[in-house]
Amino acid sequence: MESLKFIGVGLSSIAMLGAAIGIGNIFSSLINGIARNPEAEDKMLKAAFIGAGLTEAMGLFAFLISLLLIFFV
Amino acid sequence: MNNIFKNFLSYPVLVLETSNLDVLINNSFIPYTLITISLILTFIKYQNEYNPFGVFIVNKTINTFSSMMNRRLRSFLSLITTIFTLVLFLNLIGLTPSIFAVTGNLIITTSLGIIVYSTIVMTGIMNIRIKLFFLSFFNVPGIALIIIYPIEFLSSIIKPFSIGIRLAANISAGHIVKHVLLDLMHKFSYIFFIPYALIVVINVFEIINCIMQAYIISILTCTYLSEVIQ
Repeated sequence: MESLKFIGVGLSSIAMLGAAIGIGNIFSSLINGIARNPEAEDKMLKAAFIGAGLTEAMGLFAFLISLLLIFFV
Repeated sequence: MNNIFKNFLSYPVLVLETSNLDVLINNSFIPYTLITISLILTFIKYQNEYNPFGVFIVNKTINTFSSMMNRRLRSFLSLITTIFTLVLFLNLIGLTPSIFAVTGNLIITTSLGIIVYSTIVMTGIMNIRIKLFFLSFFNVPGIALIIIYPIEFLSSIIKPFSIGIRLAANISAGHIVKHVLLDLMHKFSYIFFIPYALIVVINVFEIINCIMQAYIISILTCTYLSEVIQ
């Protein structure tokens, strides 16, 4: 029954996929915005990094749950 | 696999036993002394001149954070710069190999989040006088209030834990990946350069990540405060 734990860990770490898609979305819109309006590049960079940090945190919540499962349960 | 969490457990290293008391020196003594020494050296006058690194940090933070704050938020500039420099220095100190990573612990980072959240709550109460919690919605009338009000309340309550988990998970994830790759490198003793290249790349990404996490914490305090002060 200890080996069923690893199946749960593998399933819960699939959630990083959503974080990867979200970050790709954000930076693709950043590149589009820079292409349309190169003068406002600094403001767009700031907003992109804020958004990237927030979405990465969501993926890392799921990663934290998988770490908790594998080591402390 | 036992070495993965060695960076995140604080255990006593030196124990002096006397008759009444025991003197313990923990694993976390080294980063605490390092950060006091580094903060003192960067922000103090030496021979009537300031350290250019400290001048650089202070100018950069004040310029970036004061451009997104209006007049009433200017009084919180000192809190935001201290949080930024503390988290930045602690993250960078934790990157060295066998030193206890202070911001990788959930306890320390949630306490930072509680500090931030308590300043937000107290400024809200001082500005709007306790109506803050019961009226924190966007002009939604009637029946939709029953559904939306618990969601808004939960999203406000979870703020300290989200800040804490974000910082701790970002820092500890990099460390754990490095330890796992080192374990792999030990087992594949003939093709060791493949995990080694990955470790080099991850180190570069981690250095950028440390700076970004400090920036993100300070930006989040700015936005939460600007929501409250209105």
